[in-house]
Amino acid sequence: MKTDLLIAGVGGQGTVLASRVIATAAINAGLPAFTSETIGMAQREGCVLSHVRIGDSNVGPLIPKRYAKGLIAFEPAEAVRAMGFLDKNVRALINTRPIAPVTATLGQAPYHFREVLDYLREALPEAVLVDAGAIALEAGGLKFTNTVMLGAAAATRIIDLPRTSLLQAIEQLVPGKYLEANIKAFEMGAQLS
Amino acid sequence: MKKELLLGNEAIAWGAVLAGVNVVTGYPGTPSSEIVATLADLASDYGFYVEWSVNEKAALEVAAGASYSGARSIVTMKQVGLNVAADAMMTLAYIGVKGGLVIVSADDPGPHSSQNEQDTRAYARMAKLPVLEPSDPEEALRLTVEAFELSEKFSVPVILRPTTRLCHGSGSVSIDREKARSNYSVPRKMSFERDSKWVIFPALSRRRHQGLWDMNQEFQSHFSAPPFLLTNIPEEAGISAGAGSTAGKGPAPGPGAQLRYELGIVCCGVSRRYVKEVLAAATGVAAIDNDTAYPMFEVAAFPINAEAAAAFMKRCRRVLVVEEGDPLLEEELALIAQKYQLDTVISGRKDGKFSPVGELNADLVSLALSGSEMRSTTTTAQSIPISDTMQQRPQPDLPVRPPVLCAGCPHRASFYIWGQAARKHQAIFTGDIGCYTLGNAQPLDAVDTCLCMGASFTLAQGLKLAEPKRPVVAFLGDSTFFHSGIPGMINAVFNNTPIKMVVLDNRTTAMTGNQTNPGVGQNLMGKQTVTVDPLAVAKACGVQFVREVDPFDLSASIATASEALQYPGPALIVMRQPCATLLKHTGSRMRFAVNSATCTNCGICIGKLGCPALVRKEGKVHINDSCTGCGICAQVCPSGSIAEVQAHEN
Repeated sequence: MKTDLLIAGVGGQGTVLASRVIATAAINAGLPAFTSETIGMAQREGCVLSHVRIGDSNVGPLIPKRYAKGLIAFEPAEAVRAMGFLDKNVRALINTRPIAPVTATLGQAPYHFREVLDYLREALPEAVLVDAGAIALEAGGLKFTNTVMLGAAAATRIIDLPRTSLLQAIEQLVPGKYLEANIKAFEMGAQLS
Repeated sequence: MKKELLLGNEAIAWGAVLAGVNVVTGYPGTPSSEIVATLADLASDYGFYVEWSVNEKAALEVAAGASYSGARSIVTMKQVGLNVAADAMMTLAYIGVKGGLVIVSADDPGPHSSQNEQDTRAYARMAKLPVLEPSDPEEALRLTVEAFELSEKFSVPVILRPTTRLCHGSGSVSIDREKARSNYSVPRKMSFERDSKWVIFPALSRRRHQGLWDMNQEFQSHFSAPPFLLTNIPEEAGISAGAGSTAGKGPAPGPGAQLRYELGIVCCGVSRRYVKEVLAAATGVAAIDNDTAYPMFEVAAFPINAEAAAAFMKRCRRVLVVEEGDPLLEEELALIAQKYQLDTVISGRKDGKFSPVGELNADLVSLALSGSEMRSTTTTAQSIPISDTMQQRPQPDLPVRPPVLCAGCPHRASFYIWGQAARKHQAIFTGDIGCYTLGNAQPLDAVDTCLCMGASFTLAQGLKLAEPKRPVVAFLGDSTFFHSGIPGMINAVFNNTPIKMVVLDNRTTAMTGNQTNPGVGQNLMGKQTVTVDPLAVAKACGVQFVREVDPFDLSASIATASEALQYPGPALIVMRQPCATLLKHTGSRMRFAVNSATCTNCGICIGKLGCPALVRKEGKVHINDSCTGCGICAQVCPSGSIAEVQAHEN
């Protein structure tokens, strides 16, 4: 299997862990994998993108424009920002819970949330829209948004990797004391779609 | 061996362990920080030493000292950190080393998280030191090991230059842990031998300078084959001429004549992967390492081998140079072409094939190639269709999302305090490098200058000299204070310039991922150690007005700030509260909530503080889940509608 997955979100939502889980799962399943992360200043609630490239050892770290076969967006406006990377047959999973930046709260630049959702529904009619935030809160807090989204992306086969490889990757990467809660969040995400 | 997913930085760290590193030093800086962090996790297990040093110069000198005695050492920093270490490096190149010494200077083309886009290779050229530049994590591991070997072979420091997309990209790598373990089974023999060669004097400098020039010839000879140089001429690999050749465009060359290709590609670092991806997509050949129809000259080490480069250029009418950073390879090729009297046209970042600024990617490589003979075969993003539904309507305006200070960040409180106390007096606020640079955003608007590490104190002094009547307040963090703030503080005291120096002491080096520093009482080996207190340092250096305040106590802090502003001499105030990210996992604070019954919805909390935990929910002010309980919003609320609560409410 060869695929390129893009994870879009806001710094602090755990996109880095999510992409590393996917790439590790791919390696567990015997496939080559590369990722590229946004680490640094943007992790303080800026825009972050993780590129995950699976099944081809002859690729660069970044997904070229219009190449992404899968989009996992942790935030709706960030899904729109990632549009330029998407293949026309992209399969998308989008968390509908918005994160209003401080600039919007201050009224400097508004967040047109409804327009963003309307646009996504039209531009990506096949996209799976979920309120992953609500499930994450049920699972113990918004910090579980990433594993909820992983569970949902696995169930919809946007991440087309064996479930066992993904769960094994979560076990490899999540510290022991948070492991049980994350597996629970993953399972709850899988029920979502 | 099992493959595992490693960041480029983790691969470099493992390379050092596989080379049997003994001493690891560095100063944190994006994108380099994870190298030392990874090594710190392995240090006690394998038995080597690791430290976060006070700054890059100290880090390099510690590593060099260890190397004088035969230890293998690695020192890591970001590209601008090399400016700080350069004083040591320029002469260390003359003096040389005994144990292998690798200087990792991570460049940040873009830049993503840096003040500038400087190219470490330019420093290497100035110092006449070799540079290795890996393209992916697997190669990063291998070239790190090679760098140690090379350093010992030639007795000079060797520079490793990763760039952001390598540092923060991951790939599958196998680690020979048994080999790593065996490196440490027998301790390396360390012995400093007294010798005049360790003492730089002008007479020695001249000799060593000549030696370095001579050695550069040897580096070039050494860099004529893999893994340092990978040349691929399709004809020589038995591949028929591809779209890039002159074949089919004119009379066929006579028997025995060498084909001259229309276009050859010269690339280095992470750009090699962009080139290969574009070529694979264009030719439809999956594995093109030995199959490409275009001549390729892949550079993984500098200085480049002039003979090999000339031989390559001789086979190409034009070459496209693909490199991250400045057009150094492009310029070097031009010099070689001139020396060998070649008519090859050389293009790249210098002549506008690529922008000379910012980082590259496969799309830009594709675009550069599409302007050439490869137009028909190269896929560019513009030529790939998008779906009808994507085209149907224009994208909505998107929210603007710059990085911000975290909810509960003590810097927010500090900037609010000084804003209240000093801005009415037309004060200038000089800022520095760290999370607190983000205090420049509205509504805090508290950073008027930002230049480089430690510059806030010294810029403030200059500003104060030019405009003596205006208050000047200089901000820097605890780690930056120790890094390069102290000399500036002494300069202000010594010259009696009445600036107000503020140390934003959040008990960590936050922006780069919460590294230790001399103020926190614990070093990287996990040992409890002396806590160096900026207050005591300031007093010892002769600052007369020295105070510590808790920035979460707004009124007391504003009173102290006002007092400092009134004081006629230089003053130093430490604003001390731990970083909010240190508390995230401990949950040691309460959180706050808005009493909607009494809230007048005046918006003062939002408008004065800009905290990401303060949001509007159905028009009403609400405090969300990210609150860590600093409580400053409760202190600015005029109606007393914000109070501590017990449990999380979402």
